Amino acid sequence: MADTTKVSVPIPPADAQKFHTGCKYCIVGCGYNVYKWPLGKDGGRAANRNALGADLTKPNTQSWISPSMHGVVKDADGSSYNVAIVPDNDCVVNSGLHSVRGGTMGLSVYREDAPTRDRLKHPTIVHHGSQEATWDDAVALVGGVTKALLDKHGPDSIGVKFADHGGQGGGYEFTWATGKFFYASVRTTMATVHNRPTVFGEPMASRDMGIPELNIAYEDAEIADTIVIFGANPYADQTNYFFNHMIPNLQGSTADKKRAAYPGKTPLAQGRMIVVDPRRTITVAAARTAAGNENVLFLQVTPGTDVTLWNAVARVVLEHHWDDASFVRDHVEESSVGSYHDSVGLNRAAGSVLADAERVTGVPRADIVRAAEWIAKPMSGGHKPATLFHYEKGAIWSIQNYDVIASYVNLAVLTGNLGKPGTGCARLGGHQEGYVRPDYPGKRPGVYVEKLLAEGKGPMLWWVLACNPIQTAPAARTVLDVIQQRGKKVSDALDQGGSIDDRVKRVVASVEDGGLFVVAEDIYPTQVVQHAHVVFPAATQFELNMTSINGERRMRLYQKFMDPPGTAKPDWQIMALVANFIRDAYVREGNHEMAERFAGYDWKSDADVFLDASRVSAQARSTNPATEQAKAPNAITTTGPAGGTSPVSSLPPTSKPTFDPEDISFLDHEYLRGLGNNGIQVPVNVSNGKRSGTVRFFTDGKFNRPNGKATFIPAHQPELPAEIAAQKRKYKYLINNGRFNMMWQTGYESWRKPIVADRWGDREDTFLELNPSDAKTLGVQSGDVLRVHNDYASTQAIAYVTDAVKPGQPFMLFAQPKKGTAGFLVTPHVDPKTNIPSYKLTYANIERVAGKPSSFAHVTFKDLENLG
Amino acid sequence: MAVSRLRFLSASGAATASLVAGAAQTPTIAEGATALPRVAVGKAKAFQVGKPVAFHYPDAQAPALAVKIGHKVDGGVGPEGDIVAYSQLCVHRGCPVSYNAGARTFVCPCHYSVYDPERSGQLVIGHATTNLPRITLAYDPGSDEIRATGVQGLIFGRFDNGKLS
Repeated sequence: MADTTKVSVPIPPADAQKFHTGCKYCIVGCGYNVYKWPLGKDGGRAANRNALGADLTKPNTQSWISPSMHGVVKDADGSSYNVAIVPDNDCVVNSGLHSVRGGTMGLSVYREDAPTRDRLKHPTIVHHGSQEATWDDAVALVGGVTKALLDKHGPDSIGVKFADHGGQGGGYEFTWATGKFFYASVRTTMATVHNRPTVFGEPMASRDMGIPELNIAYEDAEIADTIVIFGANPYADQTNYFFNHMIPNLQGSTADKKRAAYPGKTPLAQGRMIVVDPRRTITVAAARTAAGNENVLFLQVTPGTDVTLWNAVARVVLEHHWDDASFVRDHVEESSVGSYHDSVGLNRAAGSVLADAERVTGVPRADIVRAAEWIAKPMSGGHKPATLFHYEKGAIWSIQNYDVIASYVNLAVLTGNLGKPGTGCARLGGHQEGYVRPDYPGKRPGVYVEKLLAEGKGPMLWWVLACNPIQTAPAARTVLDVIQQRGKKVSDALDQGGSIDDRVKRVVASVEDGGLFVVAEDIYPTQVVQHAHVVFPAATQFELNMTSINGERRMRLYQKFMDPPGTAKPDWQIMALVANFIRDAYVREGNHEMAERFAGYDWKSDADVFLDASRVSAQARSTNPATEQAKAPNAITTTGPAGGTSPVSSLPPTSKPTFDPEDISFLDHEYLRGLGNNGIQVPVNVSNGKRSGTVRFFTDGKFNRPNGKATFIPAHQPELPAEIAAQKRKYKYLINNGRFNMMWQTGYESWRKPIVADRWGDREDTFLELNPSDAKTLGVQSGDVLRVHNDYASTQAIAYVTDAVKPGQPFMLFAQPKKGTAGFLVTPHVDPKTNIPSYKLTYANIERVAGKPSSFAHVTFKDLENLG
Repeated sequence: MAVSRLRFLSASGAATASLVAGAAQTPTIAEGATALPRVAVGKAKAFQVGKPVAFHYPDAQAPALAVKIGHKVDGGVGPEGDIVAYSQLCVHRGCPVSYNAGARTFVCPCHYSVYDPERSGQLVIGHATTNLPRITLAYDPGSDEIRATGVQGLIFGRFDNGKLS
């Protein structure tokens, strides 16, 4: 059992170094202050003797450092320091709150005496197993193979799977450097991002409608009359957006903000929340506890029937003329209105539509009507409610991504809930964002690289950066099989050793013979890393200066405060090493055209990379034909790489018809450093040399389409895709899956935190929530070991019996390592319009294989969704 | 110095003890703790299943709850081995947790962290970054007295359980 019983933490002295950072994990991006001080130089309890400025002779309720916020780090020069990573009371995002994820970041720092000790420290090359190698050799091998394949087989012989986000494993510096290498230099179309077989976004329907998906401010959740949560669980996954912004509204403590936003309107005493999910999540329980059952409407929808649900809600809205007709007239593509009305059944009686919807979705018609009322029925005084629409993976990863998203966003358009305080239609988000890349050379919906690889086709080199497709790909088991089977040929070639030049030749010959050369760039020995031929150890958040935006596009600089382990380097530096190697090789050949393609990587610092990306953002703005004012003379300057200043073209008016929602024009590290944990909401505009952020989108009524109008996209209830239907015919249980509060993404770091390992059995097992009636049928008790299997794979899970899930619809933790990988059970189906997988819906059988393992003896199995 | 104050709190719902306790484990005594006082909590016979008893430990600024679970649990004391005690301060933001006798959990009213007193104060779900600190107890069968003897884990707001100056 892990030690979770520390009884003291050291006090940071008044002269401790102080840094700003954000949480490494979820999209909310809570602000944290970091204190760093030499071991043995602790502060005192008097307020003037500690960095917290607090009188610690009394219990400290405002800036306490929990044992999990504290760590010990060693700098490259060998000196050791305490670090404390403490939530920032003055950050407007979290106001001092932390989640179980961010609040345990002290446990996440690299240290030799902790479970993080297995961070990747030096490059490795396969030679009868992975062997430590020099950077020069690893770069020469990867650069040599890349160049040889590019010359001989073209850009698409190089494949990449890489993160496209902010926070840990990402950031603008990461996305820019990796995007520049693969899109502008290599120019491959064989690219997919961390969790899906495409490089395009997850809510493409929303973007096509003119509604970029991060269009709100967190303050909107304090102003809304109704908050709709569709396929998301913010208590667990966007914790402090939920607790610092939504819950106060539900409890009625934000009335002043509502009155300020809408003078003359009588706000509801308490905000209302609608939650749509197949599982009764803890968000439902927490909202009910905070707001009372009468203010929370939970629609326990049958998985895959969301389009029917939202179309029925729209039908009710239209029946009662609760739509915002003037908004639709002024701001919506007229030609899309009729077909949208048809799609929601306006030509049919509302009663008949509702009856069908109740049958299909399993949601009582009275609840569908109530949802329509809460979303759009005028309140006392005749004011329309301000409704804030949110959604995440339950919507995104359903059976027909494009249609599901469209059906939901349509409702926000129909009711005019965009561009005003307390409104919006935004994804809640998983990780933070931070996307800036050159244009992808391919076309929508992108290339399903994983499928090609499984078929023995696709790229010959597969570079996997900061992600793990063995856990997060559709039919993920096939990814593991491909890496093992096709990778073996390359391993055999590398086992022969020889000079780097010899090995480059052997690798090229082996991939021409059907092998797959796998390069991994990561921070921990993930399954992909364990199967890779060359591994580059990366630095991660805390170990470099990096930038990210959160779910309201709040951009912050997360400062470096410790050195990476061993010789690990920031990802941008790794890309630069390889690019420069290839450039030099072309220069030696006298191939100036190709040398030029691999030029432009002479960055000296994190700040240089950002500035390079920021300039491209600014250029994109200024070359937008619709933004003539971009050339206006109110330019500002930013500090250039050489310490000088470079003019940056000025910005366009906010009313420009097309814009990049993650645009980072007019920003640089130095400026962001001064803004601390509150940062600025991008895109940034400049007026009279002064920068200002964008609180929410569409305030001017202009949407992100060339003519500035939003458009409806009619959506029709999709059939169950054939691959899933085939599993349904053979297997009994619908397997839903998702995240859990403590665990972050693939669990790559979470499991190294003792509190997580202690809670979940100190091993890499996942759990599967099972309704008591199913448990009875299967003869299963909480803690029992289950086998879960279908045509795609057989995997393992630990039973967690709860009535939060419906009978026949167990819920499994997604993307967790090794023993219980829900992704193994998922079919290869993707929405043909977007290449987004149907991760949330597969079928499998379940059998009990053993009783509770001894490692689970101390683990609680009390209800995860019940607050009593 | 610590004041022992025995007080019964109203608890919602009756205990419905049926869960079988897990394999017995010896409570670990954490290292590095400042020596803490022994403080009387009350007589075991005065405890009722599901009715928490409030006291303070290790000093007057540290509210704690002792509870008779209703069946033997790891680290439990008393004739039935079912009395346990925990800091009442949620280690998320320091709000006082309350005992849910039905679920046999401690629940924080501020942000709904949930702890399991049958599993060393383990976080069932929530935002706390450690388990709920456990107050170790000793039982003297002769006098039927239960005494608090130490703390496992760091009480919210403190840098050392036993030192405030």
